[in-house]
Amino acid sequence: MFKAAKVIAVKDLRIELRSKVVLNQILPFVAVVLIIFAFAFNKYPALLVTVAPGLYWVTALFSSLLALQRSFSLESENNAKDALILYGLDPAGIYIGKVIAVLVEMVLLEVFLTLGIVFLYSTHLHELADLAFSSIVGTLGILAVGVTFSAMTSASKAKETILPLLLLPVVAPVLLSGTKAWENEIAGKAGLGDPWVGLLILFAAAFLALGTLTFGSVLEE
Amino acid sequence: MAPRRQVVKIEQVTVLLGGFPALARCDFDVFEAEIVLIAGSNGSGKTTLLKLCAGICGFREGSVRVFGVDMKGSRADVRKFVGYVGHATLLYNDLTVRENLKFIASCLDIPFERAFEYASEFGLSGKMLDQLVGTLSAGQRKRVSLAAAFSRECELLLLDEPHASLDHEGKEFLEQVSIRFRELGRSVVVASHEFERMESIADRRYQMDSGRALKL
Repeated sequence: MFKAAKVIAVKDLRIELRSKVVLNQILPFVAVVLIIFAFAFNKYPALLVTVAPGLYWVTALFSSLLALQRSFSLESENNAKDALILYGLDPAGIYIGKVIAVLVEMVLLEVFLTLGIVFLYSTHLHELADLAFSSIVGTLGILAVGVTFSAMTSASKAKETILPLLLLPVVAPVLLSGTKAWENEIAGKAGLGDPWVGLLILFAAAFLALGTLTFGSVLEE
Repeated sequence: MAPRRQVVKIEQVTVLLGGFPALARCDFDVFEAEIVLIAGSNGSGKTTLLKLCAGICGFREGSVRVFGVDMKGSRADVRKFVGYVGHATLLYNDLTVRENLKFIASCLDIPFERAFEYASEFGLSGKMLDQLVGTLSAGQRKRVSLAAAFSRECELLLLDEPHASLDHEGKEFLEQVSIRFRELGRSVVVASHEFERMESIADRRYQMDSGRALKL
């Protein structure tokens, strides 16, 4: 499983390095969202600080939708998904590899997003390590569900609209927990013992396990 | 002489695609060490038949056994013995030829050198290996795809319209490698419009007609 995961993750990241879709398309999307909100709440800087955690997670969620769709459009390009099945790769390995590749891309995007929130919204971050941990675990939870749903919808003609419809309700707990965890961490109230971080860990672990077990059937359909 | 092993046995199989019977009570078989040619007009069921043999297409009725494995159950075990080249190249446009071949070799756990040897046989060498697949011509992409499939050196190779986009030289390579595969005891099934081209090297021929495979 780990060998297949490595092969898939390296391949996806190599394609991303070459095509630069994250850099040229998703990163500008993140920047535009940050700037739009900065302008929209220009007169209420205190409000911007208050809503920053929610904005962070909403932007991260929409960015991950774009990254996930990109990840599976690679496999649809020349029916490469069929090849993955034919090569007999462990489906769990394919799943983990996809999650890792998109997670690496999302971590880079979220570093940029965090910097934007600090500089554009004048938000002071105290517990950087805790923030980074909750962000990575929360994103992992989104991707754990998202990779499975992207594989399910990648053959659909309406995949661009079906994926958000399926994904957003399921990952709502991540949005809520992530926002609460960020709020607590910005306020310096809680660290890794925060129950909201615990919920993020639980969500990611449960859906990673589910995805690993079911991805074979999803690929075959 | 010992009887030849049956590699594929399809009996009375029906495959529905969008409610339309792509295969209708179809019978088909392939033995070891033979080249089987399938002809037929567009939409007659050639591609569906090959996908069925490759285990990437389900079926509604009948029985499909590949290497003795019932394809109604887990098809994963069979796939390591089967290579398939379809209309799509199964390659990544944003990777070079070399990177695509290395990726495939890593997936299949075969030596990179073997993949490059087959690529060389199909006329892919030098600077072309470092070109992005997306920038290659259709014929060159087909060569990469065929080289990747042959490099698996699997027991059953399924080729769907392999001649499409190939130039004369590419077609020659294809025939030579197919013959060599047969000599090594492997089976090659070719669905092609260019019936005359492969007829001289084929051991058996089928004609697809409205979802049925008729022996010629």
